[in-house]
Amino acid sequence: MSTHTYKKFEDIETGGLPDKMTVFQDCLSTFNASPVDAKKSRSLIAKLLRLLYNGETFPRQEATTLFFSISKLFQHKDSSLRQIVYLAIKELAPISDDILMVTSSIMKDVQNGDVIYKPNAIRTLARILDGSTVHATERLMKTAIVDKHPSVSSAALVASYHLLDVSKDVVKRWTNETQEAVLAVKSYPQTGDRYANDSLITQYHALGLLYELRNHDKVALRKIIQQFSKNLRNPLASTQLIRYVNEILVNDHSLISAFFPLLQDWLTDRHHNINLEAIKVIVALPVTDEQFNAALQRLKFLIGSSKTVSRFAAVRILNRIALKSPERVMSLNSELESLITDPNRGIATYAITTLLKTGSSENIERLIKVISKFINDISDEFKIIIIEAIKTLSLKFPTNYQSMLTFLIEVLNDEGGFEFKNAIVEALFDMIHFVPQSRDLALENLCEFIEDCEFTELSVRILNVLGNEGPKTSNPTLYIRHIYNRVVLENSIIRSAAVIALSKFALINDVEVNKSIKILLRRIVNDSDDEVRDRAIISLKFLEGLDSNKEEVIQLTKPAYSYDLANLEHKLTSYLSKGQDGFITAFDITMVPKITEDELRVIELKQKTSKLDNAVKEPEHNNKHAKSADVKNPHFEESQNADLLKQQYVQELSAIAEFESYGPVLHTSSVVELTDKETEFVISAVKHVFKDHLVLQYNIENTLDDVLLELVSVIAQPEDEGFEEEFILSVDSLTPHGQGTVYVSMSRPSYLQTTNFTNTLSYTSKECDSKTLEALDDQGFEDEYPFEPLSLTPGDFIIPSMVGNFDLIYDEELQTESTATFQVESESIQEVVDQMVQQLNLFPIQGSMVVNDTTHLLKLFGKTIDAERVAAVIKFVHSARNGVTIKATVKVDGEESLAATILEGLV
Amino acid sequence: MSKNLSLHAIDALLIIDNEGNRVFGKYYNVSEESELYQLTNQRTFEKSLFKKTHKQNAEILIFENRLVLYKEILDITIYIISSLEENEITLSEILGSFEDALNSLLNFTIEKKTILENYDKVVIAIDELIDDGIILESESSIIKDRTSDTPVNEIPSLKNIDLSEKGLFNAFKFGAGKLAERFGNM
Repeated sequence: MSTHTYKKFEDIETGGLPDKMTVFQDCLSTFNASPVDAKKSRSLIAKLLRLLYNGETFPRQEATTLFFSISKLFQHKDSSLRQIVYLAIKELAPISDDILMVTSSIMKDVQNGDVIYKPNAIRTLARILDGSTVHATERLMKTAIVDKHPSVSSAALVASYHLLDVSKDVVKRWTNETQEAVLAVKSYPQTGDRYANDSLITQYHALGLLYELRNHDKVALRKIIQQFSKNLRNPLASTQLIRYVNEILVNDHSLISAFFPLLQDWLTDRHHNINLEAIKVIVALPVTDEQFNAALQRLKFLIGSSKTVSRFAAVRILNRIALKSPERVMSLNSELESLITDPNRGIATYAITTLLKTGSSENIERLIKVISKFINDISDEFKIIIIEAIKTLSLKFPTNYQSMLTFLIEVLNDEGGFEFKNAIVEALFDMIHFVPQSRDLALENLCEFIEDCEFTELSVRILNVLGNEGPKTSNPTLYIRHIYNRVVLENSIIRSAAVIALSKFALINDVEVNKSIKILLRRIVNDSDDEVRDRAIISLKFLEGLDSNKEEVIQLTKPAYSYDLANLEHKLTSYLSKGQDGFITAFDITMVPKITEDELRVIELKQKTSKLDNAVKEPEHNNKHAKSADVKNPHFEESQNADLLKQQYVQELSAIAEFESYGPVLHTSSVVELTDKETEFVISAVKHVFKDHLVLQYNIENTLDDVLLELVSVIAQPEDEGFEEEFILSVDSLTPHGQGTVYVSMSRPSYLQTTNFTNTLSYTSKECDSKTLEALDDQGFEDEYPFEPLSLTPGDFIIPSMVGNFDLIYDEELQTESTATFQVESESIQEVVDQMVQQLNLFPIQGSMVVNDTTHLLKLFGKTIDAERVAAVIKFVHSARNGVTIKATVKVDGEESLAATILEGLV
Repeated sequence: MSKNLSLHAIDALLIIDNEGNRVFGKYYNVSEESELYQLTNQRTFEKSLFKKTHKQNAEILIFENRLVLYKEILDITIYIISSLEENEITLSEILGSFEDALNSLLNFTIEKKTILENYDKVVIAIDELIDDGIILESESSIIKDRTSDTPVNEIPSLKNIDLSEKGLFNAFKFGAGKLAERFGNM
């Protein structure tokens, strides 16, 4: 015995777990002994629970043995032992068999037990019962729910809540008792010198149960809210009720004004969790500005709270609002700024990312100054978050690149680990790539950075970028010196990268530079490392090939285009999946669309900004029981899917013999829905533009159950001249729920001509058997079905493109222009801008798609399918009286009619 | 934003020592698909959570798509883990109540040693705080009152001897039973 107690003491000192088998054996012998030692038993059960709570588990048979021996302890009357016995039964029940045997002992305690363990008995009962035994407890449960003691009543309600999964029908029978319990004020009985405050949490449990019993009925839910909204005294119950209000309002916005007074009361409640819950509901609903501001005022109060959790919750909400409508939280910017230095990193991060979202070009400079003051005092991890935010910002406000670039360069020279430096270098790369004005300064600083960069990987990547971008700068020789220094001073990996970067400078048309590069490369040929030597030799060979104008060398060194990688990957995987038979024909690289460098940048920037936006967003929709978080970016997915769908259509099109002579597809529009989803025929269309032809592709789905369609065709009538219908590829038959595609081919004028097509579906319909799909009558009758017209817009002829020097092109190079002023009724400029960008299919330059003010300037650029440049400058003014007033100027390479046509597409 | 309309508010309650090892851990309502169903995943989760929070004093954070509130007291840290849409202030009040209850149960010294010495009381208090993810009680004084003391050993003493008529009758019955048992064994 003495060794035992010694061992126990040691366990606690070291914190080690008790031995599983010893505990098992001790339990059996102690619980079966007579008389039972209450103290020893309780401490043994505590040991057993410690094992279970540490993740240890017992095989079913052993667990059942334990369960059985613990049930012996019911003989002992000590209430403190009984309480822990119930906990043990609760924890062992899921892993043991024959648990129903303790039912009668438990029921006895529920009826006549001491008040200290009676609630435990009730809660344990819910773990023991199965569907066939629940009904036997009905009377007991009902009595317990209306018990005067709050703990007994709560236990019964929570037990009933768990029993919902076992037998909801039985639990429904005590709806009346539950309803009564919501409003019953049960104070906790005071015993002796102990004093306990009332919590009235029973209201919360009763309300929660009542909701589950009634939730299928919206009318009943409204009744619950009306009945209890003024009478709840437990804050948890109130927050729960607010969630029910939200449930109603989310589904029916028209009720917001009716329920708002209630929400307003909750906003000013003295309990902050109630305020918080009400704020969360209000800001997510389409409320009026006044209502929104009421919530915002309370939010401001919580931001100023001395409690970390309140500040965290408040700034988290602000961050979420800022994602959708940054202008609504701008009034709290000064409060947010005070949170930047909050000791809780989460709060500071939310504050900064929110500020960066609500930021306009004016206050960003100041914000960056504030950040630079404290950036040295925080951890690398946090620094990275800030760098990421600045990166997003630099893409959004390219005009402010100066201050952001200075900031990045400053932090680049600070001390920091690899992750941190990597984030900065990434950000600089992005700026070089997408903000051309910043290129030279950024490159120069990167050059200096690699002078004493301790990370090989970073040096290699920087050298690569120097090689790609350096030759385009005004003073390339500067970089050659820096790069050649690397060749002299660094390890072989960096040297190899430097060789390639160096040789790229020889591609610029400068004989002097070309000559000196060759001299340098010849020197490197004697390097001690073979990889470096190899690269130098290959580069030299290429350069010589270039001098003698070899075709393949030119193609390899100066590619005019690259491939859409996502598409290439998709094509390659599908090629590989064909197996042996498919390999007989070689992979056809011409199937993959080629893209020029400018187009590539547009695509990359699009992906980048949508990715960044999403990275900041936390996945709020993650349900409690949702499977592992989907890390993929839904927007990105979506746009990629749309691209793949387009590719698929084009592929299908190219497989049709009739279109073979048309040449390549110059532009394919996205899918346009032309009917509602619920109509008899669901029709969508895609427009394909060829050099002299236009092909309209109509995807038709027959949604009827028992009608067979034959000879399905579409008659498309252009409103304007210039289009001649050539032929229609109709569908022979469409079975119920079948899908088919009709192609209408038109000749199109050589100039850019927009028009509308009025559409009619013509077909012969026959009734048919919905199962066998066989026609019931031979004749059928011919019918027509008109649907929404399809418009051919300027966007169908334009490919978005990016330029670095938009202003130069717009002001000086493009001469033909067309101007118009008009008004649009709309709440916000952003809405109009988004719509225009979509419609015209032009690329917004310098981040001008982000609207921050009541006036705005949008710059768009793109090329027509005939490779004519199109630039547009559009001014917006928003006023409450007139809506949005727009002045648009379109400038093009070609004729004035082209500019006019594009302009018309806007109106 | 989906609201948690059920009463299941808490996903886990953990007590971790200053080396990142579990002193107490209970995950509520983890279905088999959940990544926290497997014990090994729970352990990894706890280790990385501990690493993220140890000596940070942040009180609240979002960790692996969960809302985490915690309190570091001497050599242990108490965590409450919940879904992202839960009310932060409510959770913080629950954590505060639990700390208060522990304080009065452990005589104002919450540390690993006292928790292990009074493990019976600690687990009962937790059971009175949360029942399978449902907040059962938020008032610390009630939790304290509902947690029974460890029983004292029944040392035979004069005080325990019941000299009332019923007590004597019981003693007689007990003796008679013992005798019958003896005879039965013979």
